[in-house]
Amino acid sequence: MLEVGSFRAALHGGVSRRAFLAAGALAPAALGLKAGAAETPGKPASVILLWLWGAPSHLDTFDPKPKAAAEIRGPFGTIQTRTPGVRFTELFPKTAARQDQFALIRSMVNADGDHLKAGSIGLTGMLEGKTAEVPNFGSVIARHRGEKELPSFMAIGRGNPRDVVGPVRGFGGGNWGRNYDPLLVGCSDTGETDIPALKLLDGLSPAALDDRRKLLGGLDRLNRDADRPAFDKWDATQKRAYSLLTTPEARAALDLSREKPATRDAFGQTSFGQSCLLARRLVQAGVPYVQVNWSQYVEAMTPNCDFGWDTHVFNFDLLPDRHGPIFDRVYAALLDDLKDRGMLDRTLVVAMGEFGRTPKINGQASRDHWPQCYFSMWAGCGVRGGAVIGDSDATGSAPLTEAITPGMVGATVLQLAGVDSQARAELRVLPGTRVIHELF
Amino acid sequence: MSFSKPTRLTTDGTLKQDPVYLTGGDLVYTLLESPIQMRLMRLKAADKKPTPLHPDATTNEFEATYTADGSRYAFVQSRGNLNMRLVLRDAATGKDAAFDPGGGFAAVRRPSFHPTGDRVCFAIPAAAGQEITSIGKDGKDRKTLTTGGINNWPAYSPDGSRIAFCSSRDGEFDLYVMAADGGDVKRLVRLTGMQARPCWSPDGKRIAFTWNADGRYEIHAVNLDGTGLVRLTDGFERADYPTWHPEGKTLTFVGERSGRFDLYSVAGG
Repeated sequence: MLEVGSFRAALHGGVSRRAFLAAGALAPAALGLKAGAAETPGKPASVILLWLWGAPSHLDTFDPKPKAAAEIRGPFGTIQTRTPGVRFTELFPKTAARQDQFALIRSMVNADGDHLKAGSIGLTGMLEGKTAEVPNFGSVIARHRGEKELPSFMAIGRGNPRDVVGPVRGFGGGNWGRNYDPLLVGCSDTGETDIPALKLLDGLSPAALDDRRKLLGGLDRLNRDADRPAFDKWDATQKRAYSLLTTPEARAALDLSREKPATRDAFGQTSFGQSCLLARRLVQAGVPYVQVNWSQYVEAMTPNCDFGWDTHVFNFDLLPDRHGPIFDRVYAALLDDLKDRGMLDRTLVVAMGEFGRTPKINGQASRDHWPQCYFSMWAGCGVRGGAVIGDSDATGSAPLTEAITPGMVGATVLQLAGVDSQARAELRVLPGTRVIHELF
Repeated sequence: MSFSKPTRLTTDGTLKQDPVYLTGGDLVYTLLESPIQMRLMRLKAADKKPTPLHPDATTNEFEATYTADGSRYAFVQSRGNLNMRLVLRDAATGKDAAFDPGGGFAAVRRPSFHPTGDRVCFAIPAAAGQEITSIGKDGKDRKTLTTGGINNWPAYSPDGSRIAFCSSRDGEFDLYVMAADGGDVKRLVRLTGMQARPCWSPDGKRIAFTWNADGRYEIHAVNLDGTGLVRLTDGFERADYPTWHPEGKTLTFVGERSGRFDLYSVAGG
């Protein structure tokens, strides 16, 4: 049984309500959820997590403070969204025009201000994640559902989130083992896909590896080159990768050239754009949890790093230059695409970083780490479009309402994906957390 | 309003930014060559083929700016973790001078070479806000030209007497012009929406800039007295990074169409 709790949650516009969680039940009626929105029975939701590694500034994106002092508010104007009274910065017009399709949480709080630790907490929902190997939300879903023809947990991007020292804890299965790690798929700005695990396969000649740059086109030769003894020596990740590519449905899901040009164009010629399109294809093919990584590294502008959101310098140049326009286009395209295909009812799209950035502009005319207050965005699966959950204070320094934690994020994501409270308890994940029922 | 039909100069669609013309009509711009590599490219007017300006560069290099005669140029070079310096290079000899903003998180961006090559101005963070600063061609003799607000995208006028830039001193990023020594600051226009990346017409009479009007980046041009505001681009998802051809008849920019980023030219307004 889980805890019985009560809380106050102020909705945007000052409407408050008191809600109660029923111990162990978390039934849709008890949560005030739309039928079929969150709890089994019914088909569990698929999840796309847009992981904004490096941590976007909440003040310069979706929680602007235009009336704050100059050293707080920054140089961007604000625009009205589809929801009266809710404003974003001017860098996100397409997202603002779709605010009726997603809910925004402005009272997120992380327990740590270090990228790796906060990232691990953010991806696992567990405070232990910063020091111990605990499983990613996707790993929990993978273990709960079991392996099917397609992997249950896939990650897309240039690589798993990492910093110079290696992958962040919480990127995968943790102490459950590598079987629950995500199967990583690389996706270029032109939509070419690549599976790094296959680079480690025995028995493949360099020529075959080179051919894998055109991975899908080279699969037939790959199949011939791999003999059984070599196959037996592969580890689980490699076998999963190979099996994936010998499944016609999976191969098709990974082939973005099957999309209409207009669809590919809508997502734009950026790695993040094509990765999000790939995520939709994977969900469509049956993958229950896909994590799209904005970047592999947190750093915004550093040699060999790939332009994360960690804008300690020139924040106000990088955001209008590339981060803002790219995110705005891709997020809008993803929501439109899922909606047009009728997939949004069963697909949860969550966008967030590991924390926010300092309300007060730093000595580099930018913003540093700020775990005390940040945002997350939720769409699909019965989430109330247009809702703004929680509120931050006049400077974006702290929530004025109950803090929403990564643990609550995890409980909500898992609940919608079919890992209910009992299953979470059996798996010993996310104890003492609750579903963010205000979303529904 | 009718707009001139744009001419597409590149076709790869890869993310690119900050084109700048050389006297002979070649273009130098920044290309996101790989997920981790921004490279300066040169598009020759003769054959329209882009080639790397510095083929051996292994770190990010971007935002090139040239003297009027093309004998010297400057660019930003990524040096370390969130650390970027300004390199000033002799085009003939390859000999460098540099301005290093210091260790740790420290950077300069958006350089503009004085047409004579005597000075370079650029944006650099300050204790409060972000300044426009200029240095001599040897990387020394630093002079701060602005105070207050986030100041960015400086551009010397063709005669070197003035600098166009954008600043948040009055609230949000707006377009200003000041004397090259930092005096006589004037706000050029009063518009709602971010204004960025000003560039001068070759005759020094007009300024083109990016304006985030109604949620879309478009290139506009305005006279120095704030009159004659016109939009020069249409039909793009984003039109940004304007630069005028040395002869003034056309204006080149990065246009986003169908999610692809290419260089386009339109009539110079």
